[in-house]
Amino acid sequence: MKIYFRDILLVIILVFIGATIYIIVNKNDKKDLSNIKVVDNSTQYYNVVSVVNKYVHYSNEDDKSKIFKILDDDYIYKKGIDASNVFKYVRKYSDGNVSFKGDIMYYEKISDNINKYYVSGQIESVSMNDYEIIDENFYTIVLVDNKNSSFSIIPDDGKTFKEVEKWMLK
Amino acid sequence: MDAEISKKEYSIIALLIIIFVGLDVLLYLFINNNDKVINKIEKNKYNTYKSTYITVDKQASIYLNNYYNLIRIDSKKAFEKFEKKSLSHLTTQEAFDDYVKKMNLSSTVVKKLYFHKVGKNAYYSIIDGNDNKVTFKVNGVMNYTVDFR
Repeated sequence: MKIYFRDILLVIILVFIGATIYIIVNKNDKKDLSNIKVVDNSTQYYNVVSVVNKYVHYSNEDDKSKIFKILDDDYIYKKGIDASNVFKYVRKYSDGNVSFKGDIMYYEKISDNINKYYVSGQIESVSMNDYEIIDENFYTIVLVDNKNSSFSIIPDDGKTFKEVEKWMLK
Repeated sequence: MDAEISKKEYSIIALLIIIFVGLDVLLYLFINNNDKVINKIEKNKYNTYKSTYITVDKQASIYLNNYYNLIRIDSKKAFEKFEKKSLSHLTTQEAFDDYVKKMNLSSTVVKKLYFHKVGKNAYYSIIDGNDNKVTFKVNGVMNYTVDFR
């Protein structure tokens, strides 16, 4: 039996296609959660709460460009977001007096200046005579640059937060 | 088995293997790069914040406010946060509701505060403006249980 160049070429191409499919199918979505800690510093905690309140207020103002400018660059790139479709990924709260009330929060150090916060809480509407919880289970991820006093937001439907919480409660 | 492959074709095969392995390695690194290291978040008009220092006294007042509010708006949740073993007769929701109804929770002023840490937990022992004694056992900000002692 003779082996020809085209046979070897075919085998190489098939192996390449197989390996590529294997890499894509077995994409590693699992995060390394071992560096995550609970936020126990009040100043750190309320800085993040104020940042989330900004995010909620921008969504309440229905201002696409403001929301777009606070979203994480990598998240924007991965989801293919632009200023016109931003509310497909961010929930709008159409109420005059919405604010965020935080629950337990976790964080991990991403680099010297940047912390990543896994945030949970409620969105409430408070007026003189009325109090209403608009969203009982609000989640988001916040990246904070401590040196630059800047932040960016990664919306979360709760999947990431619950994964982190499950790991922390182990 | 005989191979009818010229020297030139061997070179092409070797080159293709190198290119394909390289492409798959790059693909693997690209799609598994979940947490890119970020060193800076560029400032713009909308993404800045001002840091406010929260003192232990301020945090104690926040806990007191938060819990007294919770008793008013959601006593079920307030009961969940209550350390059942602290007052042995307050093991049911009804008993808890009766007990807090008799307390005067109108003041969230922190008259006296004793703060200490034991292991992972922080303890805020507070006497409020109406002389109620409340202790918050905290493991992470806003993650607390309450004891009326």
